Amino acid sequence: MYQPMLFLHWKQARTFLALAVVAAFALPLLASEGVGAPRGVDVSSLDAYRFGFEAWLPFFPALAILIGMTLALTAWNWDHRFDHVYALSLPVTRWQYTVQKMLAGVTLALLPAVGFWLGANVAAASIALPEGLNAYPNELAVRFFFAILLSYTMLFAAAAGTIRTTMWVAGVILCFVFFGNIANDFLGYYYDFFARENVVLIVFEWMFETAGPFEVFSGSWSLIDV
Amino acid sequence: MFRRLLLGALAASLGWTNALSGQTQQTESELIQQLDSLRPLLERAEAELQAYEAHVREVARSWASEVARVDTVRVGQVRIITPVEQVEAARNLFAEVWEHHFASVDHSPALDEVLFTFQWSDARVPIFTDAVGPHGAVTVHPVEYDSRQSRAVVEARIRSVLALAVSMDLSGLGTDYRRWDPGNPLDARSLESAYRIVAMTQSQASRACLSGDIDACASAMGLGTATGVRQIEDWYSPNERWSLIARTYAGARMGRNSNTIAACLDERSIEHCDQILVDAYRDLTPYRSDVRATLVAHALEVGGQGSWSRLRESADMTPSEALEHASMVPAEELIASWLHRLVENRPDTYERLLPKSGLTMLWALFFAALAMRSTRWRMG
Amino acid sequence: MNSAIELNNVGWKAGKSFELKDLSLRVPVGSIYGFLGPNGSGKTTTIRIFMGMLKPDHGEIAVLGRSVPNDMKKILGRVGYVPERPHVYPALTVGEQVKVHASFFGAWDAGWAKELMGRLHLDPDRKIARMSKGETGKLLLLLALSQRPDLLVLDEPTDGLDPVVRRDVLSAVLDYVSETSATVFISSHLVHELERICDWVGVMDDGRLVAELPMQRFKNGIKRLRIVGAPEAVEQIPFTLLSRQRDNGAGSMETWIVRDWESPMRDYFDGVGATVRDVIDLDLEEGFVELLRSSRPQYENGS
Repeated sequence: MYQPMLFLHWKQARTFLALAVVAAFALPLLASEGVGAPRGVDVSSLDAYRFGFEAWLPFFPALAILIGMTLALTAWNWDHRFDHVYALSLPVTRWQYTVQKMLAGVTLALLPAVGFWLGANVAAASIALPEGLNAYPNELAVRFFFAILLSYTMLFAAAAGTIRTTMWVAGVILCFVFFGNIANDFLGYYYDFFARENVVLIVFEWMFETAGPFEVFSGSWSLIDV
Repeated sequence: MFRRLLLGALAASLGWTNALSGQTQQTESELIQQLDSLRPLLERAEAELQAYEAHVREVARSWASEVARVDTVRVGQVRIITPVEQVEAARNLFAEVWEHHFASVDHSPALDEVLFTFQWSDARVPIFTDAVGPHGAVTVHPVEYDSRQSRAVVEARIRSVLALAVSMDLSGLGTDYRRWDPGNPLDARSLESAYRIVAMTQSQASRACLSGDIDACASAMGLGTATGVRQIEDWYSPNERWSLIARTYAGARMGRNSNTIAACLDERSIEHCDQILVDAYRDLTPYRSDVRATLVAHALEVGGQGSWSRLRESADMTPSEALEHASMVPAEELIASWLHRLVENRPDTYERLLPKSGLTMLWALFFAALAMRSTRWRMG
Repeated sequence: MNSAIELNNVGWKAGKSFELKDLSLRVPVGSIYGFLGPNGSGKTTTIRIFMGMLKPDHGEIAVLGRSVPNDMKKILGRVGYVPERPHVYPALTVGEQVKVHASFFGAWDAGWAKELMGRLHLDPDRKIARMSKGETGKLLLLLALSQRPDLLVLDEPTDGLDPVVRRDVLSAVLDYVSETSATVFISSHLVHELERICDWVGVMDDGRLVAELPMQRFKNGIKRLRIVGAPEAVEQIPFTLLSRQRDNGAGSMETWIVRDWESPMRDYFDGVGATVRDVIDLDLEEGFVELLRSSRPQYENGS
């Protein structure tokens, strides 16, 4: 069952995947070429790296998220289009169908990740590193893959649910963001903990920095670092 | 306002009188006579002024007693004026911030010159608005906060005004060392940040420093003894010197016509490059105030009790001597221990990648489990 | 197992507009069951319910002797389904779609699939997105038949197809049934189409099953009677009175539409002082229309 799933997903996403592989390969190279560095400055110098590469850093997680999102949407595109009728007429339990579909997407996610890994290695090899600095192409590629994986699975899960479930989840998140601060201030009048801390910020910090799902996006994306 | 108008009118009348005297060439006795005639006017003005001030005081007293009775709280050296109902909050907040951020400040004369006010900005009457800024012998630092702001925000505001006040103690030190924020403790995060800056600094002195050359560290900090071209040669390699200038003139057509600059940039004549750098008004010290601040903080920690007072008293010394005096250890030893600490806190860029990736995997599995709950009751 | 599909008191509601009310339905094993009804009567909903795609509010469902939805995986392995709207992947070619579909079914008959492809004039390299409605319909039937199903569920399989393709599709179904004795459940609003091939018929209207009987009885049992002197109140009639209407003009002539009519039943009218002037056979479509008219509340009491 995995093979037809992979084939179907590939048929849906192949054009995008081809572009994604090229983009993932090119991004570290473009960044390391010191695009944005002042004209006339030796691009292999550290300052050129800082000028050029750091400007490109936000694009790394952004590309990963874009790839993950598109893979998730293409995974369910045909199912949604035909009201899931085809999938539901197959002699497969729903959870098996979902798992195989998800695994197919994860397999396809490897393609841009490999492209990125190659690009990062070529980029790292092209930079003359001063003493004290190191290149991390493999680690960066691993982070890139996991960033794709996470955005893919997250959106895949959202798209797998019914519209009602998705609306519920989105509604709860929005309510938490919009009304959380107000509730926190209100509780702050009665409880010292809420007067001292902002629960919304704590949750966000946990989500993005400590152990939450978004840590992979907010962590280090440096190809070159100390 | 009334007082200012009165004094202005008086000054104007005197000026007019002086102008007249210059025109008519009055004798000295005539002038004295004329001034004596002004005395009743001055005395009346003074009396009116005093009456006005007494009235203002009376109004303020009656008004304050009705709507905003205030009290003065002391937390160590810190004096805070606050409405009576906020006395407890002010004491707790200032005490906590002081203990957490300013433990190394044993005595700060600057604090004797400062009053802090603490009140809700949305209180019915902003009682201390007039008191902001220099006020007689003291400077007033207000801490106003919105009742909806969290305690962390208010604490940050207190930390900021305390740091501003206490930093005045270091006004005698060199600029870059004075810029240190006394409220920022030397924690792992700031050391990591300093390490990254040091490692990224494009300077041969900095690279040598990271390799363990203490003299190079001192030089990169601006604590070395060399001056002029020699100092620049210590800091930067010829290629780096050329890069400094190239970066300055990158994309700029103006100034490139100079023969010296052209010789430096186009012919890569390092003598010409050095000449430009020596003549430049820029501070070329590789480590800027952010790195130097960590050395000051380290010196205070090493010096322990009394280090703040010693640092404060060393205004006439060179920065190197001041740091030695504060830490009570030789500068080389101080820099060596600083470097050791910096290297120990080297940021682990990808060291925790595996456990973090494991965490991401767990989240991915969690989302997969959510997706598996996808129901076959899709329609309807 | 006497019934290939069995629904007992199944209820399902979608908002305020539509509802299946205590639907009970039995499709005998080996039959070709025509599921008739006007558009919007609940045919597709009923199919989706016993195919496990919609969750009923109440009631029990069994398909091929197994419970729905608990045994769906086993049931669907033996059911060939052609949905109302094409559901195949437009980016695939016919050959690719057949290959993908085959991988899900253990009993897939690759040889027959190939034979059907030739017989239905389907090009394996043709992209589905570029196929006509008729070609897509034939592909769907190919997919369903090549599974070698015990039950074939066809939801409006010939709707919108030209006569040639319609004939191809129906003959392929009949060939399969004659060869395997599989049960066929075929829904349609085209009465004549079902008349030729079905041996059982169920009629849906407004979410209710208004009739379920052998096709022969359906075809022969519905009559239009011309009666003179019929009493106002009728009791203990031996047939089912679907409607009665007084003719325009003078006299006491009435037209009755009845179901389950047999000739000896004329005696009933003699007993109540009435006379049967004519007994007129209705064709299937007329019978279907009269059945629907009689089942709707506004047509009750012959008004």
